[in-house]
Amino acid sequence: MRNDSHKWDAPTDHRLPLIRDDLTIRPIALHRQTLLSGPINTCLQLANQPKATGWPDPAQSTAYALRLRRDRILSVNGPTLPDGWHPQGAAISDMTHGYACIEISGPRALPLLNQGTELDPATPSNSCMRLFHGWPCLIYQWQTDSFRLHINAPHSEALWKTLVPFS
Amino acid sequence: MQQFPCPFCGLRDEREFHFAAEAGKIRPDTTQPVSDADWAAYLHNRKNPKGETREVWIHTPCAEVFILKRDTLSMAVLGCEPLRKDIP
Amino acid sequence: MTGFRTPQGGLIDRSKPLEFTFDGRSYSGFQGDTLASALLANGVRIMGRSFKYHRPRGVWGAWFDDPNAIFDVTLNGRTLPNCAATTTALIDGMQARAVNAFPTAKHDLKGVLDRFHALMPAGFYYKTFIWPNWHLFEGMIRKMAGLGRLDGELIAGYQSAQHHDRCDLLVVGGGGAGLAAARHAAEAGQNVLLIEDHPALGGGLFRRALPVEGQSPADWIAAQQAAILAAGGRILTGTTAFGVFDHNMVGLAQDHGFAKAPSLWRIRARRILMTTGALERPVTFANNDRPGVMGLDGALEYLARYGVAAGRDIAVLSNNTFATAAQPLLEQAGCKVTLLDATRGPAKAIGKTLRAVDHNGQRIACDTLLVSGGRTPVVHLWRHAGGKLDWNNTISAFVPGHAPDGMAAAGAANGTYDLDDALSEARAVALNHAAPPARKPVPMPLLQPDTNSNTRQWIDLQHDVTLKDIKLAAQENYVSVEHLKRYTTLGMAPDQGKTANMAGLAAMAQLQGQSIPETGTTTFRPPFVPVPLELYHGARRGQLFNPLKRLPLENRHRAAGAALGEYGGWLRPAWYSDIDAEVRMARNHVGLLDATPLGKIEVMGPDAAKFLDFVYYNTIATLKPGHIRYGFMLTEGGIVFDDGVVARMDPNRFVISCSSSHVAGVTALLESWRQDGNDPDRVFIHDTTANWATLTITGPQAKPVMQALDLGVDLAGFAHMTWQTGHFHDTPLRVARVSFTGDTSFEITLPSAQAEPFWDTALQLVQAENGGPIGIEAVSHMRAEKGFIIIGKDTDGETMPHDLGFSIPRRKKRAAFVGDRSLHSETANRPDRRQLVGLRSDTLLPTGAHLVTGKRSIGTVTSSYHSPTLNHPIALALLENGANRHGEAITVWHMDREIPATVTAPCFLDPKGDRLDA
Repeated sequence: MRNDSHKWDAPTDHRLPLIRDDLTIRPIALHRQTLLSGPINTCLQLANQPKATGWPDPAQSTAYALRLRRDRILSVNGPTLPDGWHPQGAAISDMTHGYACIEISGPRALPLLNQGTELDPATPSNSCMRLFHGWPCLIYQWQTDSFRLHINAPHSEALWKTLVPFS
Repeated sequence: MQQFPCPFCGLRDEREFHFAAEAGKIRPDTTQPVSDADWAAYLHNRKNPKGETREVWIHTPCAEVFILKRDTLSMAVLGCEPLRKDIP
Repeated sequence: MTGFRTPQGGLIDRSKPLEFTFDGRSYSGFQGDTLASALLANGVRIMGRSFKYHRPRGVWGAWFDDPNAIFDVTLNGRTLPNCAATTTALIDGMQARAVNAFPTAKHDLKGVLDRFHALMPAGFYYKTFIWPNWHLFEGMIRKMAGLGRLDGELIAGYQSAQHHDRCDLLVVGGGGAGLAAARHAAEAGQNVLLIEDHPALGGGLFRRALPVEGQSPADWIAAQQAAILAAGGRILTGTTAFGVFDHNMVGLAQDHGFAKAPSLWRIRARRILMTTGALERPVTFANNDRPGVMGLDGALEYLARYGVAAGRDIAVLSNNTFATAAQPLLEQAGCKVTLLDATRGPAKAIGKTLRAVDHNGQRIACDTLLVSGGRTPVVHLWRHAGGKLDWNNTISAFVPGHAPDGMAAAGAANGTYDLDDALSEARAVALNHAAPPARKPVPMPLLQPDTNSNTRQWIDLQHDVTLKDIKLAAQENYVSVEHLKRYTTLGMAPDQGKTANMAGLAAMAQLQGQSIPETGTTTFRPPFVPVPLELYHGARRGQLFNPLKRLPLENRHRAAGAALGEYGGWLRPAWYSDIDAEVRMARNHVGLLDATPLGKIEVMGPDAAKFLDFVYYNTIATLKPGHIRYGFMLTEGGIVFDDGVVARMDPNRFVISCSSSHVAGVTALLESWRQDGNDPDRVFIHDTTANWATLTITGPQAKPVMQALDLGVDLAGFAHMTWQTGHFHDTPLRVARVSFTGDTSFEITLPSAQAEPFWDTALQLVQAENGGPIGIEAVSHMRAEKGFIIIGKDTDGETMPHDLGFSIPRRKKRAAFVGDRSLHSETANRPDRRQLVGLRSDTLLPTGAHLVTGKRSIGTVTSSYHSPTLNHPIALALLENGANRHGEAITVWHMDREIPATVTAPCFLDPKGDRLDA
């Protein structure tokens, strides 16, 4: 029963990018994010994707799928699918607003990511999900020298504040 | 900072993992009578071996629940196995 | 005569003079000096006072192995305590003060303590300061103990960056062996990282002062450096490897200058090559702690790196050929040099101000005594990694033995002291080839201390441990090295016995009539040198120390003047205006609550119903689509783990709305059972909590507000504990009719992107009905009035569902479920189990207070509020056999006060539930 408002800064405006010579951090508004769980081929087929990206393969196009688990993908900007159990045998949930997406690019992008986790392009992983500064995040290569990060939206304020001082 | 292997994700930082249980404990069928002693053994008794051990761990980012083989003396990680039987 | 600056030489920049003070007096030095080298060059000899006896001390060494010169250093208003003078680079304007000395190191008032040294042997504090009460002595001992002075000011911006990185070969130590190895590996295509703790590469090559493979040391070093970089290798200077950790992770501390926090590098190396060199070994002899007694290597370092001669009239006491090699270098600097063979009997330093040394029946005049009792390879990192040590009799030293996986050693660290041997060895080992056998071993016979003498001979300079203390330890049977260490405190000072451990071992071995390998060594642990705690801190500080989850509507709550607080890991509005006013407003009219943290965990698949029936205490399989059921999840021990509502969407889809604070725990529990005990292809669990905002409209006027919102739901046919789909403008949403307040209540769940427009609309309509926003505190009061529990507050680690009045599944559910067998254990059947009750009293009961009979606690108060609705105090409690005690008088005990109360049913308002459908 205590007023702790003074202990917490008001949320930062996450729409503003941070730009330096060798590093850019900017929020990305994705049109759609859909979680699909089930046999991997069923999920890929419903998401209309040939494969799902892990680490370190780049995602690159406007619509892509990310591999979270052996039986789960996140479809980005994929087809609209109804929430619930799909008759083809997959569980579907819309997460468009559940993950905040941040793009980190520039020569300092990979070193910045290496402040929050051990991330090595020479060590591949089937899943692009890992703990970053202690939070579960999707981290994947987007294009040359640029990476994308998805974090649970309620944590995005703390993540933004964590990245900014070291940039 | 140790590295543990997840059967799906490969080698990852130990902080991504959480111990779940000793491997090989089967839950008694509680639709049949289960003695106090058997239920207590299931709840509380652990083998706690010195040396090689098989444990159930969870890799929290991908939520894979799997078997991790470790050596409790040398800290060596001996390998991992998925729980699912259908994975080669 | 004392130290002096040579007319030329050293790596310092003589064109850049710098000013500084020490103990209040001003001195000059040059760019490239350390505090120690600059003081030495100014003829300052006494740089500190010893820990226990306050004896005057000078520098012993030139780098981290010096135990004596420790200063508090102030620069530009920032003070750092306990800086090693030998590793602190001189900066213009520095003010240094010797720790543990007052008013100065030269004239220390506590120097008189040394006269009483006989009363202060090892362990004397265990045997004194006891009677009549040791606390009487505590304050005095505190004042006398410790070293530097802590400045209470925080240094702004003192933050360590932390980085992960990796390499094929990590070479620790950039001396001759390290440079040769790094170049060889880099040119062979390996990803090499070479680190060196000095600002300059080169290690022992400077003090050796001889050509290296035909080049001057400086040219050779520059050539290796250029080649390493050209081959793609990386070099970090001013960087110390302070520890080797599991799976070949090495911790590096990268220096950034005075009063700036070092950076932490966590390097995952495929192979680690330890080329860390070897330290000068002291000789144990009478009065060996006098200022002017220094290590030979240290003196040569001062000469080669800083252009400082340690003294004019130098005696060298050693057991090896490094002394012979040193003679011409010292003579070139203008010193007179006399060599003494340390194997020819004990020595004794003469004079409080050193003026001579007695040795082998002779008195040799000198102002400086350089000693070299051999070398001690720096094997700490080897031991961190679990590598074994072997005793090498030729050089009387522990050298790396059986290697840990992925680690190797070369050069002096490996006991290979001849430079040509070291370079060949380093190049071979860099590529994981067998090293060629050493062609020129440097013999160093073991020197044994004179344990029969009654003179004072120092073993550990930092902790003032003498040979007498070792003898005392042996006498009192503290003979194992671990006991010896802790009883005498030998090796426990900040220098961790770098110059003391071998001497202590040799002494104990001699006393026990054992060999040194039989006596053993203590454990080496990180950090290798002291590092600031800040190094391990990371990004978690201030508001990021325990960062909370944030609501999509936070800005709306702030604009409405909400008092924010942490609830279950989220930052939520506790209240907006006044808790009691909000309760009355919601009970009489309507309130709007941001219930977004409520978990929304989807459980889907053909086995979903069967799975939930197993995971839940209640029967879930019979729940019809469109309906909602309250239920408990138990642990296998039968203890209530979580409560919440389960909504069935269709035959294969359920949404669990669990406690806000428990979402991660519940999800983990569900996943464990899903994968370990069920067929994971037939049930899937999605935590979608973050995607949705949930707003609750609660109160007698809830229905008119819902009417006005026009969400497309059938309000007239909307039964309690059911849900319907609806829409807000174009956005589909769900409305559930559930109540945590006991009043008519609707929970609307919609995508979080629509939270703000919905809030704005709903708030207006709520206010039109004389309502307003309500915070968590108001809701907590209202649910307590109804006796609705909060898990973990009104339940504890022993509470089972039948303690809360939910006993039907325990009696009737046939299907197996988590915790089922535990509900029929002896403990579960006890008649005196603590059960949920209500309490009425005249005054507000303290939460957590005990319910007592006599002196025995029979329960606790779990929730307690002043009820604004009923205008009297209410409380919930867990009480032994409480269900059978309604109406009884009970005593509540708190902090020596006894408060009378009456046990009631755990519900104070509307037990029939009429208000649910106002």
